[in-house]
Amino acid sequence: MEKLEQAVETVKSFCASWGDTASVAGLFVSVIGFVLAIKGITTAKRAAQQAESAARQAKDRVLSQGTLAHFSSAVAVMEEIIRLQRKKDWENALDRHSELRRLLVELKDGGVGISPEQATIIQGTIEQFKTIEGQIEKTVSADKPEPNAARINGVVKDQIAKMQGIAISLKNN
Amino acid sequence: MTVIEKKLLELVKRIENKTNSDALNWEKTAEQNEFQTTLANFVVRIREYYEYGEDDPNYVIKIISSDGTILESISNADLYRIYNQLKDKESEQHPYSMFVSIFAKAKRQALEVDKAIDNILSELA
Repeated sequence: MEKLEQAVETVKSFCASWGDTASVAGLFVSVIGFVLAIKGITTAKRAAQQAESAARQAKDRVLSQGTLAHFSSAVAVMEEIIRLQRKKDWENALDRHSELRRLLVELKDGGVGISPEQATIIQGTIEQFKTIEGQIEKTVSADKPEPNAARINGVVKDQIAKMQGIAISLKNN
Repeated sequence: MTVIEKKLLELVKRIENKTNSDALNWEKTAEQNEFQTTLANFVVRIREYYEYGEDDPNYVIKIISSDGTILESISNADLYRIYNQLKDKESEQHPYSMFVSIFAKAKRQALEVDKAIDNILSELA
């Protein structure tokens, strides 16, 4: 029993002499732990932001590639329109005009990265094709004289150059 | 004269000034006597046409919005009515001559007439 009391006394004196040191050490450990926890949170937040930004960039890239693909499709349809108009195949040309209008409206209203100025240029192209379509429509449905294929194809070629110009500027941005 | 009439007169004047200073890029359309340009998110078209039995052409300028709606059509006759309401007419340019000037310049620019003449001149030199 005496030995036990001695042992308790030894522990008590040890604790009394080292208690303050342990408290200070404990405080340091708490501060370091707190700093590490804050750092961990900040790192996690930054990683989440970087992941979000990367996901957004990937999404924009995919959408922008979609826009560029739409421009390529529009130009391909315009080239087909030139061929059909050259052959005076007005009915098939009219079908392609409808498809082209849909593509151009999609580009103007939903194209990624399209500036207001570029949207206006696309609207100008839509107006140009509207006029050509009107002339073909008169020929097909009202038996009016055929449009001048060389003249309207000249206009289509100008529009191809414009659409390619916009596509290149989007690609470079 | 209403506010909108004043604005339309001013608009045609400014289109003429900008056209004369080559600040507008006029292009040909599928219609032989129609030319178009883009201006502040709008498409602007000018057309020359003849009324039955008239020797002199008439002109119309259309302002088309970005969704394809024709917002305004101003003819030389419309502008002449506005011009007639002006108190100090002598100091203003006649509306018909403004339309003639815009159309002639737009046509020359769209069809690259200057370039063609330069080419012919260089061939003749």
